[in-house]
Amino acid sequence: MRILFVHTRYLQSAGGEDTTLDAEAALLDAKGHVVEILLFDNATMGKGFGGKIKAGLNAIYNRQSAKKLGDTIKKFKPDIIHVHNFFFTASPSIFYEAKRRHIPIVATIHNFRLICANCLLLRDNKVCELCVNHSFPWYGVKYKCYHKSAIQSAIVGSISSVHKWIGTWNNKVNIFLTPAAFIRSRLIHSSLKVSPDRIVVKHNFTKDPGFAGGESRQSFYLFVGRLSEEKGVEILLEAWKGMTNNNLVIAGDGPEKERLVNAYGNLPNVEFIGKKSHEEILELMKKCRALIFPSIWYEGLPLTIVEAMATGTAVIASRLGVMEEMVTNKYNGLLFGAGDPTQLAAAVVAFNMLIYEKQYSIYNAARETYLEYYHPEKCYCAVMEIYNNVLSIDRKN
Amino acid sequence: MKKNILLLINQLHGGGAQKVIANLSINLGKKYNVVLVIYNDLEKVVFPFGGELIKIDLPYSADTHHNNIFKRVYRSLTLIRKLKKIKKKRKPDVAISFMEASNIVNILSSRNERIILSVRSFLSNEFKDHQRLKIFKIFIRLLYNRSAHIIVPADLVKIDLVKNFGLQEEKISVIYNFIDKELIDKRKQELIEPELESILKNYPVIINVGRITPPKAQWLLPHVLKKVREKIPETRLLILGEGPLSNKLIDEARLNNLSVCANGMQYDQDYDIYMPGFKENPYPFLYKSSAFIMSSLYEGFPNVIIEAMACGLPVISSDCASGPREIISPETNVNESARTLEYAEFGILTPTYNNELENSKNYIVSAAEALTEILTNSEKKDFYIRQSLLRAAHYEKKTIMQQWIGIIENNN
Repeated sequence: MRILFVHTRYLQSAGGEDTTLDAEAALLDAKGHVVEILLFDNATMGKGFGGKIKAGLNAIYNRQSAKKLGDTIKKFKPDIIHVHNFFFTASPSIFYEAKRRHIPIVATIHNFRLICANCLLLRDNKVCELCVNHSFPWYGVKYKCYHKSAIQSAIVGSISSVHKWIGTWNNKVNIFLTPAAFIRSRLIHSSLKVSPDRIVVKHNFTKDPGFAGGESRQSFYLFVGRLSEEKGVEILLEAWKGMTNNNLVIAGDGPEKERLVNAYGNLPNVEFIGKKSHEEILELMKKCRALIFPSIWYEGLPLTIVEAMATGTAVIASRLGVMEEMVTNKYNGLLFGAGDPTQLAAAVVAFNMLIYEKQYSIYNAARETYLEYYHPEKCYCAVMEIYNNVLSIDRKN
Repeated sequence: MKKNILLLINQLHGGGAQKVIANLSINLGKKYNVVLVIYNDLEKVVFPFGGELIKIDLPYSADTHHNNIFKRVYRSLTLIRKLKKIKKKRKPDVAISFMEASNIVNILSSRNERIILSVRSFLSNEFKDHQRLKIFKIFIRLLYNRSAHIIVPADLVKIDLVKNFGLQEEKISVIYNFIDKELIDKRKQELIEPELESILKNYPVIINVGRITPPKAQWLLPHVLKKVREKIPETRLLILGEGPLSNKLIDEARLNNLSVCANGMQYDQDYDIYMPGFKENPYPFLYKSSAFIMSSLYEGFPNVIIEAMACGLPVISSDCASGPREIISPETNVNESARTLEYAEFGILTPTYNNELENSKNYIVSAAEALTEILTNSEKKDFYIRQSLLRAAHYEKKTIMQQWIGIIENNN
């Protein structure tokens, strides 16, 4: 099969979406498919009011991107096009171009951008769903959700809104993929109004790093992630104030690092180790007692949890959004009330109790979850089934 | 001379019955010499009580699951013997016991004092669920008629005892659990989150209070809200409580395109449904809401309806067993249940939701109709506010305590 991936890279740090795209392309390539990646880059938004308007119009419909895609299609002749991120440079114009050239198109929705101006369903570090049922995110403009600017929020909002009004999402995209059932359910009951059978869950995956059972593990707990407020690190550190028996290792950098180190650096059993390589993280995961994931937003499909489960690491996570879907309480980890340090501390005590009683089955269950949902082979089968379905329906029409 | 009263209960923590007897000991203590006797969990006295507390120390574990039949019998016999001793020394004029184990012991240890028993729950249901308790059924048939009086908290419990256990109807009196109006009036003035305060001030708010569990069926309420909004679009729904069905409730809301502001989310007054979780003091929320709605499939005796009434709220409740009809429409037959909307004496009764019936939408349609009526017809609303307050007074501490004293003083 000839597969063309289309993706727009973000300006800031390479997030999980870039990783997912690379991994998916590599997997299909390894299975003998012909893969081509068409990359767009987000340039900084134009200066001044006029520049912003121009950038906004381009984000709604960018002719150059459509042309670029048209050229690539002519050259590469793909059977199917798989779009990851089209915000902002690629723009929805690529869906029109693909349709004109009768190439079926699937799009992975990694976040809530289509129904939320800042794409996280988060406002002032608390979950917010005000715009979900409105075809235009009025509240996003009111609360300046995108880059703290009303104008930019309006522009970002109008990208998905204009296309809701002219029917792009319903007519130009064959299938939407979401990496988790939670995102799917959130999109179904929203102003997007795409019929449920056209939104399909396809999990992300990670390469098998090998399993580490309960016997070989040490007694420290691990946090991996950006040190920013929505990841809930402060809740974790607050919970750790009263914790004396266990060490906590915090891996990652971010905007909150300096403040957090100042405020909690003197806790004797907390260690900030900064950003580590992928391999180092996996080694830490295999040694730790459990990964703690105290995020206070819904999340997309956090690769950190996927990787932890791949190494057989149990996860103590907030009872919220996609975490509730990935972690089953007392099976492959523990859940606690999101944003509540007391409950988090209680969960850690409960986890210690399990280990004290040598109930290592929780690690096996984490690994089982990985093998069942997030293993490359599973994901390969799933994605091929989706492609083949799309192609066979497309041929019939 | 002051009478001596002996109160008997297994323990002083945990359930509603224990709380009621603890309150009773405080209020009877003002008029009588009260001794309160317990025999389980002696170290765990949680509820505040009045009078003198006597703890009977028994052999073996209080958790009867751990004991074989001989240990259990020996434990009970010891209890009877020790209680007899206490009764001999204290010379109670009246001995009041709550719940079956204590009731049986109370009768078997009786000397010449008046025995008053209190059955706190719908026993037929309880025995259906717990095979082990069947032995009590025999004891109840044999012994309970030997008591001077039996107190129950609801009409249906009385009917059950007469019909299914052969007890003498004239011995059984209904005395409701009381509410403390003074305390409610004080606590309803306490401050609440300013965001919720402004919602309650600016919009008509329908409120429900209770754990979010299958029998309470709060997942019906988004459907009801949706219908109410066809006429009154600014209506909001407020649900106080937590529980296993919270997610189902949220899903139902989303199916109806209603937005939910759940616990921990960023507040805004433009959400449709608010679920701020459990509130230790629900009274300010009740006080400031426009109407109280209950969707339960079954209940024991829903004190929350009376509390809502005491806060001056019109009450709209499903006519489930047992409780709502007794409270809302006391002049009608408690064995009946509403087939359509009933504008009753002290509130509005709707049919109970029933999955199997063809008219499964019946609850939603009638509840929405009743709410719309209350929110648009101010005359009707004012009428039901007055009726609510009137009915709540019926359950006030003073009234209920007089009924207890009446039973205690009655020497026939």
